[in-house]
Amino acid sequence: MLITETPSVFENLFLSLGDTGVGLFLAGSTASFAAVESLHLLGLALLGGAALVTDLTVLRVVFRRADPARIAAALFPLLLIGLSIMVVSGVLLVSAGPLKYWLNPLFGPKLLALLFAVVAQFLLYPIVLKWNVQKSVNLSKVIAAASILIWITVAVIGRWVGLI
Amino acid sequence: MIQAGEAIPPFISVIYNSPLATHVRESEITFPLLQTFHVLGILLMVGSIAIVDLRILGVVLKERTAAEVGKSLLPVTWVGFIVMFLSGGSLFAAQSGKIYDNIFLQVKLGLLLFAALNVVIFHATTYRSIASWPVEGAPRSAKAAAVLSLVVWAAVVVTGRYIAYY
Amino acid sequence: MKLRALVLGLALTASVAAPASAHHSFAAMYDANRPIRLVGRLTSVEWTNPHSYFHLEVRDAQGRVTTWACEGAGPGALSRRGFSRSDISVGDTLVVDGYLAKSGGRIIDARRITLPDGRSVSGGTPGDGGPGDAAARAPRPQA
Repeated sequence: MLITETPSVFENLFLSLGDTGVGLFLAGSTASFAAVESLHLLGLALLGGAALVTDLTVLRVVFRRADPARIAAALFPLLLIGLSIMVVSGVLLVSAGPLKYWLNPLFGPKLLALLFAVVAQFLLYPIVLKWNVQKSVNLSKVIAAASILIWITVAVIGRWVGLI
Repeated sequence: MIQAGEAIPPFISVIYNSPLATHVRESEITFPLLQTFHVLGILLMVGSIAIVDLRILGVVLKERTAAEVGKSLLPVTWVGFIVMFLSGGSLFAAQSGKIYDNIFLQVKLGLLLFAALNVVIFHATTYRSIASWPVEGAPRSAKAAAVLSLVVWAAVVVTGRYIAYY
Repeated sequence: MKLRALVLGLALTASVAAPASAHHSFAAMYDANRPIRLVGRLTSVEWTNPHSYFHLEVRDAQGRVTTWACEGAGPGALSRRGFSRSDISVGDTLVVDGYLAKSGGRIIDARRITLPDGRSVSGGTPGDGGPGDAAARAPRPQA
C-alpha cells in the first residue's frame, strides 16, 4: 500500500481505527492484545473446521452417506459464527496499530484472498443444492476444492503478515 | 546463549543443542514454515474436534448420528494431530533452552497431557457405546467429556499464543 | 467417572506444580512512549528464531559500561530486508534505535539498526503486538 503525501479517505479511515478507545487500550495492554489474538485463532478453528468439513463432504471424503447440501446447511451457522469472530477480532487487532498493517505488503493480499474465500464458499451453497444434476455435482466439487485452497491461502498469508 | 546464573536442565540442553533443534532455530525458512503448519494444524485438529464435541452435545449436525460424525471426522483429527505434534515438537525443541521455564509453556504442556488423557479415557469407556446412544442425547459422561474437550483445547490454543509474550 | 476425575486431577496438579522461574522472560514487552537510542560495541549475536538478539556494551558519560540486549526479527525477516549475519562482527559499533521494555530490564525492541558501513536496516519484529512503529512516517497532514 502506497504512502502518499495527501492520504486518501480510505487511508485516513483505516488509520483512524488507531485513535479509537479500544484501539488505544489494546495498544497499551499486552495481555488484552494477546487475548484478542487468541480469539482470532479460536475463530479460525470454528470457521476452518466448518468450511473444511463442508468442502470435504462435497468432495465425498467425509460423510459419504449424507446429502452434501444438508451437511453444508447444518454447518453454515457454525461457519458464520467463526467468520464473525475472526472479522471482529481482526478489526480489533488492526485498531491496536493500524499503521503496521497499512505498511505491510501482505495485508492487502490477505483481505483479497479472504474476499475470494467468502465468495467461493457462498457460491457453493446454491449449486450443491442441485445434487441430483451431474453438472452441479461436478461444479460443486471444483468449488469445494478451490475453497479449501483459498481458505488455506488466507490462513497462510495471515500468519506471514507477522513474519516478513 | 545462556545468561549468567541460569542453568538449563541437562535433558533440555540435550534437546536444545541437538542438530535438528539448532538448524530450526537458525533457519530462515524452516522455522516460519513450522509456525505456518502449526496454525493450519489448529484449523485441522481443533476445528474437527470442536465439531465432534458439538455433535455430542447435540448442538450441530443433529441429522447425523454421533457415531457417524465421530467415524467420519476422527481421521481428520488424527491428521491434524500429527501436524501439530511434529511442528510443535520441532518448535519446542528449537526454543527449549529459552522457554522451558515459561509458565504458559508449562501450563500448555500440562493441558495437552490433560487433553490426551481425556481422549484416551473417553475412547476406552463412554465412546465404545456410541452406536447405542439414544437419539435424544448422549449419556451425561459423554457430554461432560465433550465440554471438557472443548474447554481444554481452547485453553491449549490460548496458552500457546501467550508463550510469545511472557 | 470417579476414576476419570482422579486421573485428570492428578495431571492438572502435576502441570501447575512445575517450577515457574519467570525471572527470565522469553519476549519482553516494550513501551511505545519510551524510545531510546543505544550506541555500543557488539559483544555477541544470536541470529535465531523467533527473535535475533544483539548484545551491546554501552559506555555512559562517566565511563561505566553496561550490557544491553536488542531484540530483532528472526533470520528470515532480517535477510529479506537485506541484513545478513555477515554484515556485522563482534567488536563493531552499532547504533540501535528502539523502545524500552516495560519491565525495566536492559533489553530493547530494536526497530532500527545502523550498521558499521552506515546502512540502516529495520530490525523490528513485525506483528509482535507491541507498539506500532511511530517512526515509520511523519505525522499525516489533516485532510
